[in-house]
Amino acid sequence: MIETRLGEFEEVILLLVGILGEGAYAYRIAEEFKNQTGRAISIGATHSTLDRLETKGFLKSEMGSATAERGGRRKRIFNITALGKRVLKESRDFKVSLWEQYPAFKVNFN
Amino acid sequence: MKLKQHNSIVPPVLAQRLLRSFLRADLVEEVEGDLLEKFCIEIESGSRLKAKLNYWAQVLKYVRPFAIRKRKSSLNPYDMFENYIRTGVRSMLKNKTFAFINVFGLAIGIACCVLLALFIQDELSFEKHFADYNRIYRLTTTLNSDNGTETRLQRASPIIGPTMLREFPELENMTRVVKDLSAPQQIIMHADRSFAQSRAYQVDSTFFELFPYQFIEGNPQTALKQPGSVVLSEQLAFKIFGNKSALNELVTIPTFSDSAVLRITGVIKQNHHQSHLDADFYFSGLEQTLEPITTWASGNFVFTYLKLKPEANVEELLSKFPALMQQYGDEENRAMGRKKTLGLQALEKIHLHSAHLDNQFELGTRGSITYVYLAAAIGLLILLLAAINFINLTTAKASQRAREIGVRKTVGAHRANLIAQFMGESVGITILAMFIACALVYITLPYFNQLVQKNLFVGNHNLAFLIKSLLAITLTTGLIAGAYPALFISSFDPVKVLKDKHLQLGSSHMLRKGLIAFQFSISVILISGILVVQHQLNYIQNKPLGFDVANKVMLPLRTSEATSQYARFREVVKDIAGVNAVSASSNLPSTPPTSDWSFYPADKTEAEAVNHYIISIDENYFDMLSIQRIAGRDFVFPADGQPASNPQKVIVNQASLKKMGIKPEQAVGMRLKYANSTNMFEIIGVVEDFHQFSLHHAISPIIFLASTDSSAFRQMIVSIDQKNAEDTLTKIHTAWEQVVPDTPFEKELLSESISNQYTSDRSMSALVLGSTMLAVLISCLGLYGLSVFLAEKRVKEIGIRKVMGASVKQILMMLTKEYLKTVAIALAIGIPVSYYLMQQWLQNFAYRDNPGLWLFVLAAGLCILVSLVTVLYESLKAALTNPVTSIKAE
Repeated sequence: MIETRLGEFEEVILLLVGILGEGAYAYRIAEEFKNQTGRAISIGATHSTLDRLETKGFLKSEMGSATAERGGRRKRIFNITALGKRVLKESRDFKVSLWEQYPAFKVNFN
Repeated sequence: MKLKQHNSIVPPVLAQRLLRSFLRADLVEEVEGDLLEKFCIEIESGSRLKAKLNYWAQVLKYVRPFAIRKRKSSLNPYDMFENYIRTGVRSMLKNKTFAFINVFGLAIGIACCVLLALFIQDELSFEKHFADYNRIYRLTTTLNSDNGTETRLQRASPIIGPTMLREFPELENMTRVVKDLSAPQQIIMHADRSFAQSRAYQVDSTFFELFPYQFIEGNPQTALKQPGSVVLSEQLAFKIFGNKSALNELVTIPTFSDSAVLRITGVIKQNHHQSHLDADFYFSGLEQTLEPITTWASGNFVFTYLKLKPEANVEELLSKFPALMQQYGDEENRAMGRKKTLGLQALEKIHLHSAHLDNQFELGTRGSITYVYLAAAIGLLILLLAAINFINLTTAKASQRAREIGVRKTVGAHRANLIAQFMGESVGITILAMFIACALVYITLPYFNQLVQKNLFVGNHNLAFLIKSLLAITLTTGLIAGAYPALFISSFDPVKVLKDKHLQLGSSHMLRKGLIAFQFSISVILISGILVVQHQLNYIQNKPLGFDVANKVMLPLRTSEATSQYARFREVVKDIAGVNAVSASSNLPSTPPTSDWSFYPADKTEAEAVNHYIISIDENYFDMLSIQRIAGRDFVFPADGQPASNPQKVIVNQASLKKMGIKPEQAVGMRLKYANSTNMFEIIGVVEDFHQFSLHHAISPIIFLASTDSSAFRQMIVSIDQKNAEDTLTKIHTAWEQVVPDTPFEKELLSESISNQYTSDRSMSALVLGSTMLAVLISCLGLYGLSVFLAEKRVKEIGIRKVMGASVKQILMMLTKEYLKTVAIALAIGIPVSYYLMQQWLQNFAYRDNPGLWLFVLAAGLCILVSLVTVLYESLKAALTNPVTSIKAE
């Protein structure tokens, strides 16, 4: 059975894939994660999460172009699927609805 | 510019290799790319080392389930198993010679291992069945005389045990055992029938408390409480009483006392457990017998067993011994000019670890831990040789199966599958060998028992052990023998093996040579070993002993009836036709000594006392044994044999004079004394040294006394004519039955008695001989197999060489040169090792003939000869084949 819930880390990675667009491959995503959060993360861990998201159907991937820095090796470019986009949106909506129910912040939101 | 720089940057090769070893194939490209990119960035921003470390960390962090290559296992493995078995069987049937050598060699190896395992288990099982055996110790005594000699005894003075029990709170119980030191056999009589038993001991009433033997009749708690009780073994009870109950029957033990009547109070159940205390019968009353003996220094003839309390500490107990000895025995020991130290020996160590203790009067037959190690080493060696054959032949034959491997790999077999297949095959072959080994063990067990002088059998007590060890031996052998071939075969590159028909398997070639060299060094070690052992045993058998052994018959005088009738019997025997001379002694050559004492010249002090064995003899003793006299005169009977005479006339041997520092020409008339006595001894004669004891021992000082009192004699000796010897013996037998009717007639040839001293050496020789033959056989089988293979492989080459004009001789040279080189290396390794080992063994003998170099040259020659014959057969066949047939064959 495929798990369809989205973890916090997974959500960030998914978002980063979206942000990076055509340049979303494991190494870039790991670097971007570090830039955005200040936390270092291994390429392996990123790759593992990407792989999981792909199995869940939130991402799809294809081999991209080769560059010289990579010794002529191609990279795997990830793209968010329609399902992935929907899950991200649902996750945001759910959190917004939670925020709205939080009385202490309600005033500020208005 | 930038591009060039990137190309020159190489990430750690080892890390990259590691990554490829586990990473899923479809991920390799992208992951390597990602990591390289990261590596470049790191290098640009920081140090090279940091970048490298980071690369390693990144690689290690890829060890995650999603990225690791998965093994796809077949959904139905049984089809594959069936296929493995089928190909395995086919390849065996195709190479019947090889299959035979493999299976048969392994079977011999396994059978040897199993037999020796049985032997070792039996040797290790002694005493372990007694409850609390680990709390029971035997008291040992070490005597250091002032002149530097040390004697270690497994016995102690009678009074020490009871005193210790009284004074040391650590002790729970104590028991003592006494074996009549002068009588190798005890006789038990019931209703005029007498039975001579070699193992009979007088024991304390607490004996069965320490050693809980199982009884079939009687009560072990009370059996020995009354003096005059006797407990029989099941065997002896059956011999005397058949199936009737033995309880409360009356018996006498004339070797112990003529008048005492003893009552049977128990019968011990016979089982497979073993102890050095096992005996035919035990009788009570030792407390009473020993009570009057209060010496703390001498009288070391009592086997004393102490049982410690569970919480007691052995070291602590031992530390109290010197003070005890000081308190009670100091004065006496000082008077005797020696130091006495007490020690403890754990019960379980008695059987195998007693080599440091005196062996003259040991209870039971000693084993030897050296023998156990030797047996284990031999078993493993032979198995190893068989396993080496397997490795050699399988790797040599690997090229024949190369195509099978190629095809398997092409259709998707992983290396692991192939390794499993070939390991499985070797385990299968070993299991087959195991069944043959079982049959071999069954057939050879009786012979093996003879060899090691044991009564091993397979029964309920060792069946579980046997099955366990059989499986362990088989599986380990299978795995060890299979490991290398499996790794080697599975490493073939499918493209290469499918393209080439014959592979050049260079790397395994060196290994094969190395293994053959190893096999032959073992063989040469064993061959020279057996030559040296035989050489030494021959030397012993032919070494002049200093007396005449031929045509002498020993008649033991076991009972007081026999000793008291000796004089009358001697006269009767003298008159029998064919009898040359009759004499008697307390201690004939090759029999255990009965007594010893320290003597010193009257003009010197006690500190210079020299220990002498004392032997009482009758008339004609030296003459009939042809012992040469070098000074003085022989005894004159009966004048010299009066016990009361002072000084008493004695004859000594040369060793005695040497030890005491007396010149032979001054010896006659010299007076001797011994400690605490006013008795004087006058030397009237000196005899040449002769080997009273076995050649393991150096000749020790002996003092001879003439005795007119026949109770001192233990054996009678009769010299007979070789002609009609049988007839003469029958007449002596008849005379014995008339004069000494109540004592069973026994006889033994002096020569037999002497050669029995070397029984254990001979059994070692037989063990080494047997294992040598097996080892050489197995090594030759392996070499033969290889020579068959190589000759087959080069059959075309040989054909072509012959067409080109090579002679049979040249071809033979070519084929055998290779092997001879290997064997030569083996000899270079084996002979020094063997020389060293044999020197160690020879240390056991006080008299030894150092093996000359020629023995080792002979061993080497034998080794070369055997290997040459093995190889020549196939090589000759190959060299003589008509080249037409060999070239034509495809």
